[in-house]
Amino acid sequence: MKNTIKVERAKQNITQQELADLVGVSRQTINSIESGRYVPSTTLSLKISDVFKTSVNEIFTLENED
Amino acid sequence: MENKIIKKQRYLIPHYFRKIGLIITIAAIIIPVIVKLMGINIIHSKKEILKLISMDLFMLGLFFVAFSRDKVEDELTIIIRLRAMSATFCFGIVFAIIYPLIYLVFGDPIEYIEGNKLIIIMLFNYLINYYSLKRNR
Repeated sequence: MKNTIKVERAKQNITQQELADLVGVSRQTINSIESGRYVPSTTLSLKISDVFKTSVNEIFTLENED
Repeated sequence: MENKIIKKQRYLIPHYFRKIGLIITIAAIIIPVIVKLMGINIIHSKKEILKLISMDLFMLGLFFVAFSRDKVEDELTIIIRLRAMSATFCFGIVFAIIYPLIYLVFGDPIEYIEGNKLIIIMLFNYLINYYSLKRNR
């Protein structure tokens, strides 16, 4: 699963730590999601999309192997 | 903002228990060493009590370290805990099976692993698994 969290963060000029604080997880978790090592839960995905004011589908997209 | 599922993690003890656990674990190692170094003469029955107390303290200390909350406890740490726990459980079963077989192979009278020893080994294994998985997350 691909995601555009890094891009969205850059657009809104927020750090991984700031995003982590906003959604209530650790910075390492945000880093793992960004690098594609961890696929977040629906709750966390919705929280992230809420921070970026973007739909979940626009942030997270399925890849062929998913 | 904390997830409801994470709030429901009642099985984890507060974060400050990690430091308490470390202190207890170190004390459990140091006390018998001090007794031996100072040459304190203890009768056999008291020696067994000292061994039992230090073993129990060691187990309790490791338990506190292993099951205290992280500073930030989130869904990824829950998954890591689950993975570490299942790996530890598998290791414990394999260890309990292999342990008496080693005695069998070497021709010694078969000896089964004691419960508290197995728990200590499993707690150690859990901590190694948990921190290595956490580092590679």
